[in-house]
Amino acid sequence: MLIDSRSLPEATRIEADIAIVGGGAAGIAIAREFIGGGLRVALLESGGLDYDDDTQDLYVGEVTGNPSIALDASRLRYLGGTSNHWAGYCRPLDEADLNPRPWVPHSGWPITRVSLDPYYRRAHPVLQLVSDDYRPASWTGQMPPVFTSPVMRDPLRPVIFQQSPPTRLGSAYRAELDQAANLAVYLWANLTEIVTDEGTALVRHLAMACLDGRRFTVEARHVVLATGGVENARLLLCSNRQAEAGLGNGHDLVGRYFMDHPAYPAATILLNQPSTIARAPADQIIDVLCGIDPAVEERERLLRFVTAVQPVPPPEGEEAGYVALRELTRNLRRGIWPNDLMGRLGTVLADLDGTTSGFYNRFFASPELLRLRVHIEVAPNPESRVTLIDERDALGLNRVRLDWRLTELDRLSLRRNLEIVGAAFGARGFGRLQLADWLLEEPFAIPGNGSYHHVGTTRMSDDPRTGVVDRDCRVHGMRNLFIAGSSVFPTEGFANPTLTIVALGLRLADHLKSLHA
Amino acid sequence: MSPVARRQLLALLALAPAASFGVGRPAGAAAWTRLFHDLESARLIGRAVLESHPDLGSAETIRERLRLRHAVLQELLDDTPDRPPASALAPALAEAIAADFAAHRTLTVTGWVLSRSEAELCALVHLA
Repeated sequence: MLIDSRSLPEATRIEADIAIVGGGAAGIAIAREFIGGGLRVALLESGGLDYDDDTQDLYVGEVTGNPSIALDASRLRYLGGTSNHWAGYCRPLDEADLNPRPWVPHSGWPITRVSLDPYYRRAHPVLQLVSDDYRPASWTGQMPPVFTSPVMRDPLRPVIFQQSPPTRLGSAYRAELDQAANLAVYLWANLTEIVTDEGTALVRHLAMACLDGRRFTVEARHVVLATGGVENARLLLCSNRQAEAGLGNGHDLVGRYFMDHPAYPAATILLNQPSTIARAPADQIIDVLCGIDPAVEERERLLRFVTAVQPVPPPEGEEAGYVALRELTRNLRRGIWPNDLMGRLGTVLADLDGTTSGFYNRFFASPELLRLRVHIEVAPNPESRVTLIDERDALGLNRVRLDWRLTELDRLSLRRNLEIVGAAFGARGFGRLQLADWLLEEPFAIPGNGSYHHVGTTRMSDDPRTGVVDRDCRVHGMRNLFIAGSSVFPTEGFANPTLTIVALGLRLADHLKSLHA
Repeated sequence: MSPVARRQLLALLALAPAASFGVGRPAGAAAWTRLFHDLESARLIGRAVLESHPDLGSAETIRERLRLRHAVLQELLDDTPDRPPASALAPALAEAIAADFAAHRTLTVTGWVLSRSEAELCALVHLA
């Protein structure tokens, strides 16, 4: 059932077997796993069912270091969380992403990629994905010709992304959450402190507050923090009554190793002659990008890398109308009725110029230039971090400063990966690559605002000296506090994180069930 | 730093059409200069190459390095006027360029990732 926390009597004490803080992709995916079971679950969501300015303001923070979109613009704080504005790109991490890589400091997950297979399979329907097949050979008919041409042979290769509608988990599963007898979704419920015993080994209760001043508590045998890559760290750091440095922070790791995915046009390919080789088929339902053989990445000691290969001008970007039209038609082709149909139709109609020019460029133009829009992994960097600042929000919690710092390895990898792409196009006689001007600066800053992917701030490791959570996503040194979401990723790969967030959430749900068995 | 215009690169990429070889070249010009459809573009690229990579050395050094790297360029680099036939030159150079790229022998010149051999040939044009 859905409960407006503002209607609770003052100082209400809620009891549950499992309390999940955060009603975004991770929180909802976990909560759904318990529907119909014998456990009582409380899902605690800061916002309501729609966007609200005052609630969103709780996300305001400072950003320094590499440019990153404002913290109150990159995330959304109402049921469904940031899935309310995600783009829907899905791909599992690769084995190479989880393996330790000697040339990438702090790399290596404590779990194997194969152990995630069953959870990835289960995550696909949650995100309404019509296929979990990422083999390029299965999708050659869906690729622009350049991806089936000789240029994509060693060391380049097509990399498949599946496309979620995109699923807005709050609206897609609202009825299911509302009807579940053993699940209570508390809206307008903000966690203000994780209260523990004196030894900080056990969460006693969660101190909750509404923006109207109402306060209540939640007691649960197990607590899951699922509030996103910045807020998970913030809430641990703010819960500093028993531990001055914050919970789980005995080794000064909480908030460190922040990562995002730089994504920006970084090069162009000048073709020998105007060509339609990057034109996508009209019935395309997948996305395909250009990647590099992991063996070459290992030999050259590079970070993971993919790039879109798009005609110039591209059939997206400023042309919001065309993008909306394309997503609509893709969904309808998959048999999925878009859950924000009217909004997308409105975008198409409001941007008829963009819709028309995007359509023309996609289906008729023969450009001599291709644009490479990269989407790259950055290395885990302890100096890239989320910290508390003195300024406080309306609930009295410290706001945060995000200081995203790139490393020399990030820069070297980006440039070298592009040179490898350029060499492949040159070797096959397709044309020549030109790096973007900003890549020629020494040192260069990567422009753009990241991808709104907040990763790594409560990283997973079997060793409490190198990780905040263990392989079961339990906070080291604590018996009943778990963390869900991309903050537990030790490294990020190049794949968008939502599919892995959901997969790890399902894995955590299974673990919690085993603890209650 | 002299930028390399896209138009100049297009001219470089067009060094294939055999029919255009030698157009406007003075009689007796070295064989390799006849490769370029647009010699002025090659010269401008060559200037940018040398500005970006001043350590490439003299014309003779560059020529010797090209000879050592690519046997197929041997005849091309001999300053024997009008030999071999112009139509035979392009495949040899294309082979050398492809081999360069495959081996990641590239030079980045004002952002353009060029094969080392094509960049050095342009440098020779500039130095000629």
